[in-house]
Amino acid sequence: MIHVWDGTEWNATKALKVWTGSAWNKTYKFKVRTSTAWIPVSTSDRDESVTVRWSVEAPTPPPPPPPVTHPVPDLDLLTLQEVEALLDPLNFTYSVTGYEVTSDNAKNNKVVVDSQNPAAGVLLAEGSNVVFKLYEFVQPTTTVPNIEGLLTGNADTAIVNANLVVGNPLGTEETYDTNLIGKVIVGSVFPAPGTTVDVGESVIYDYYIQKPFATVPPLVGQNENNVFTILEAANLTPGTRTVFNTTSASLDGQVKSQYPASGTQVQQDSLVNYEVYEHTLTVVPNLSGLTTQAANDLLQQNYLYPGTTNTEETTNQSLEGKVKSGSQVPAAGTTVNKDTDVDYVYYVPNQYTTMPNLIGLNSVTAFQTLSNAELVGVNITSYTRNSSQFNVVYNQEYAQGSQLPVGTLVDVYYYIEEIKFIAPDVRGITPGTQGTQIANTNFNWGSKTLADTSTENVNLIGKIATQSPTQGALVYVDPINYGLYIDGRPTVPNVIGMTETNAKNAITNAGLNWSVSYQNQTYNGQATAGTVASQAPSGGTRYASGSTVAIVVWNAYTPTTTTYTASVSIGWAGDIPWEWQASYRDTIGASSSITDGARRTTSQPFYVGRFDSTNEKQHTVSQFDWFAFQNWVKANKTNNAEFTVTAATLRVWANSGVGGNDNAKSLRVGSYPSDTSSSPSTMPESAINTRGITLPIASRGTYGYATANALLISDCFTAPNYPVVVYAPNTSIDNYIVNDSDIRWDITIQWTVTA
Amino acid sequence: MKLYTVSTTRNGQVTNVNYTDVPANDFDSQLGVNYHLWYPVEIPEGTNSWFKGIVTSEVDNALLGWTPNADLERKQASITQERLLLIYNDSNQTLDNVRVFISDQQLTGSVAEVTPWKANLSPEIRTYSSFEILSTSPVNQFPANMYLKANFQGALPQPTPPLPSEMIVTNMQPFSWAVAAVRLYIVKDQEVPEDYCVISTETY
Repeated sequence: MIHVWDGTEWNATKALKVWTGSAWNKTYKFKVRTSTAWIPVSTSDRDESVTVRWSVEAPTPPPPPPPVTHPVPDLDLLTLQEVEALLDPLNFTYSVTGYEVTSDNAKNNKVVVDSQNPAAGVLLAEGSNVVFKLYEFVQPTTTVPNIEGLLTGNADTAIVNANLVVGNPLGTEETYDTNLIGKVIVGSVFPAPGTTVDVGESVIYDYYIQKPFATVPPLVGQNENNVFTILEAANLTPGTRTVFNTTSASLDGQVKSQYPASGTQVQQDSLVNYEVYEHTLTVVPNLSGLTTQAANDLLQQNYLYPGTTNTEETTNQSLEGKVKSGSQVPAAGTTVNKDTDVDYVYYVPNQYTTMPNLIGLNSVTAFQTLSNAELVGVNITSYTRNSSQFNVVYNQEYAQGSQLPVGTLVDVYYYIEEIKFIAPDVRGITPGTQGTQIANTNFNWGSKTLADTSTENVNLIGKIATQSPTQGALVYVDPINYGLYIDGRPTVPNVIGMTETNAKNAITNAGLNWSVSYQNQTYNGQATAGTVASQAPSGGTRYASGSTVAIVVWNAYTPTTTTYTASVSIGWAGDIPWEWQASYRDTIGASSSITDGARRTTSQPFYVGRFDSTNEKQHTVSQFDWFAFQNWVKANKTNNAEFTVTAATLRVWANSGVGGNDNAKSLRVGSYPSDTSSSPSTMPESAINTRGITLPIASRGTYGYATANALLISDCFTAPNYPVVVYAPNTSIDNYIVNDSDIRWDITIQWTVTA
Repeated sequence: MKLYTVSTTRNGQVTNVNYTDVPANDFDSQLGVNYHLWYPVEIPEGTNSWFKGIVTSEVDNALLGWTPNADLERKQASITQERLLLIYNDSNQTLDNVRVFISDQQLTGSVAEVTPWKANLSPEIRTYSSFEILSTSPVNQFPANMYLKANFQGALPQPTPPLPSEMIVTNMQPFSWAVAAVRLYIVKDQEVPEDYCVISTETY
């Protein structure tokens, strides 16, 4: 028995099993280890430290000590310095709670009696506060009385009554106003009336006193420069200065009169008015006949200035540069202010002249007239062919009466005769060209105004034959008009289509010769024989007289024969349908006869060759309507011309999938020698024309072709036409075919046309 | 080495009150003693989580404050908190000497001391008359299995007089335990917002 500790309790078990990796095994023995050395060593350090934390509050602090007290001292009427000296040693503080007004300056800023709290003698802890009030000194005041305008005695009484003091010294002011003398001057009181001032202050003021008088001194005859000095010495003041104008230079600056008069008693500083001579006038001199220089000098001597000077032209040279009589303003002898401007007029040489009339005058006379009028003529000429106007003035630059500066250049327009030149010879040259005949001359081309001149000289045609003006003539220059050479050669007549005779006559009549050649017609009706087919030169051509015109004349037409061929198909999908088709057979009888030829069918399918023991030697017959064939070909191919068949090929279809072995088949083509409009009821193979023509068919589902020989063409394509027969050469099954009526002739026809 | 303190339950909250306030688990009739059952837990390092904060009233009530030379009465009067300290040899080696001591503290505000306990051989701690190292495992005393039976006379354990401030365990077997106490005295001088002590082991 073994006990195993499962972590909670011991469990009994019979045996322990060990898992070997693949199976449980219980045969092992177990041993118990008594040592603990095998237990794994801890991963912790060998030694350890643990930190523990907590908080500790402070112990309760000790109680404060009991306060120290002192009795409060009496502070009445003490200064702040005295209060501090008392309170500081006791560790008391203080504060001022307010102020009380007093008029006793000795109490100023001292403690108000009994205002302290706590009161004197009360026990108070150190550090406590003592409060109290302080006295505040305020000065008594009064109002300054209004003493302005009062006599000084009354003013002083009012000042004293107002608890004020009259100041010293007092100011004075002189006056001549007896109402003011001895009274206080308004605005001079200080402090000003109504002002609040401290009691006992001084009040000062100014008052009026009598002012002394002055005697007016004599001024008349004195130079005005002395007036101020004289009056100032007499305590007087220069008054209004009045001017008295005079033409006398010697009186200038002297006092003429004064007010008040000399010796009058007046107040000091009074104004003394006076009148002074001033030399401001002059008399205008007479300037007539003086030169401008002399006139201006005379004006200057008389304190005057030349004013506006105007000129006037004159043809009188003795007057040139001199003042015009009576032209001066102001007039001579007038009294005027000095420095006045005197206007006058003086003469100058003339600068303008009047344009005379020149029109209609001879040019020589006209230029003399201009010269007389102090003008200069300029030649402006124009050509004229009118002899009555030669050298006659017809225009002038300035109109008659125009005012022109002397010496002005005046254009004078007059005619002169136009120049003549020798006309050049322009005959024989082309108009417009600058040949040597007209180049470097004064002439130009005119126009074709003269009659033309006919010529057969082709070198002259289009060139000048006649001219105007005539060559070599001395004439005025005009455009050269002219007449031209024109073509004088005969015109070739158009003779095409004319008969030969008429053509020859027409050519001869035109002054020309003729030659004839002939030409065949290439087809009938191409032209009318004997008429002109062509000519050279053509009609309308200019041709020298006597030249030959070649004409070609049509010959009569010679007819020719032409052979044509065409293709026509008959039967299956052909131009003409079969008239009928039928299939026949030869039956093998008891005697081996195979000649009965009974008809099997008249509609498809058609049979050829052996099919079975009964139906062998079968053949197929196809016939067309001869007249339908003839009519169709003539209407559609030959234009009704007769034709012959020159070649024919029979095409036969072998149905696919029907017939004998699918090998090459060798059939035969022949004819049945009877033209019937419908299939006969019997047709034994023995009745067939064998024409030795084979029809090879390669295999079922293809066409076989057989080319007709002359015999078969004669059989089938000459009237009466025989039906064509397709048959087998023997009874071999290989030659058996079935046909769905697809049998056709492809033929070639031939015909001729003569025209 | 590993240091633990105790909880009233396995893997439970640390017991951070004085054990005079913890009622007895049961009465051992054979020994005639009451006993506490303690389970090892990690010593919490958060402030006031093992030793609680000392308040002003406790400071005021301290007699004169702790000094190294204070007499027994004065030290006893200034003791304020007491905690069990479990020393565990977590190696497979027998250790000849294991010194457990306060390796660092401020000596202001309060002072911590390590007081030895060695089975019944140490009569100084009189309030717990004996300790029994027990285990739920018959083969080892690993921390997951170990628990402590602390026996005491009377109704509750009483505060103990102070002892030298370190403990030396000799001949400590592999994976064995020893018991000590850590006590806190009030210095009574000033506020210390974060007082601390470092409990260390030293093997040699």
